[in-house]
Amino acid sequence: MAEYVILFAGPMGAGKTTAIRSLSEIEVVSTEAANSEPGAVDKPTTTVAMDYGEIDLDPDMVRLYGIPGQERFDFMWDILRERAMGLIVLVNADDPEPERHVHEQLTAFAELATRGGVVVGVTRYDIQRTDIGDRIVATARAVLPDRVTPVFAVDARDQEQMRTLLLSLIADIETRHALAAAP
Amino acid sequence: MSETETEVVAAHRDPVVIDASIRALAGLRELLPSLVGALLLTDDGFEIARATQHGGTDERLASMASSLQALGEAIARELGLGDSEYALIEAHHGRVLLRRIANQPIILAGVFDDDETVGKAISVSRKLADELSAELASAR
Repeated sequence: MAEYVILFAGPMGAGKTTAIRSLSEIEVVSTEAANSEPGAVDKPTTTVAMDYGEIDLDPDMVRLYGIPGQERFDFMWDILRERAMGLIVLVNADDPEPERHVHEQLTAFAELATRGGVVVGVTRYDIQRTDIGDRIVATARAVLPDRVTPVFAVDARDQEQMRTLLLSLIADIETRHALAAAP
Repeated sequence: MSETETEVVAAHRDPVVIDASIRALAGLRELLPSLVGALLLTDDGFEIARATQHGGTDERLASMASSLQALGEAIARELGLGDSEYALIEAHHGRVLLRRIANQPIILAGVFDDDETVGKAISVSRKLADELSAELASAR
């Protein structure tokens, strides 16, 4: 049995908490606080420490950690990054600067993406159908030129879509470990 | 906005809250000489007011206090222990005390050197929290 620690990163409002709630088989441990800056992102609460959920992919156990999107909480990124084996970056298609967010997150977690696995999920793609997929792929390639970074259009509320994203990440992690172990 | 709606101002931008917070921290500093620094911050980690005694506190204390307070409350909630009153970190050269201001989206973070007794820090911070909570409630 393997145990996977997966981080959900991305800007505030990208759907990290929603995604973990969609996936988790236990009640999610959340650290939501009232959002003092609703002008920046229009949502009543924001994660200030982490979200935590679990999913049993028999025989493997997956631990899901959502990290705060705001940079002022980047000490939590450092704490959780060390244990993590994989990274899911979520970004809104209707965000004014989705490529910048993907660039920042992949840069901040480049070591994890290289050591483990990484996928990018683009949420609200149905609202903002543009060439954003191609732009995100190009951004990921620019930050991580030595690896292919899968990019998915996902609905964070949809358990099946999020499960596909997660299984893709775990397959990526296992493939890279197998290749690294090969003589 | 209609005439019946009231604009909600975030605590760290509300002059009434900021003024009350500055006065509360000044009172805390008088009562606790070992206070290295204290902050009042919003639930999501924005600094409302700061009092320093011996050269300041870490710029990131507000964010870290917000995270720790939320984690403490999550643990108490998970274990069915009810609301958490305060959290205390004991270190070799001092201690950090976090306390929620009742019924307000505001947290007190106090940093003390090792001269202060834990009991005094807890009781004085409780007094500050109670008084600030009452003042802000009556101001609204």
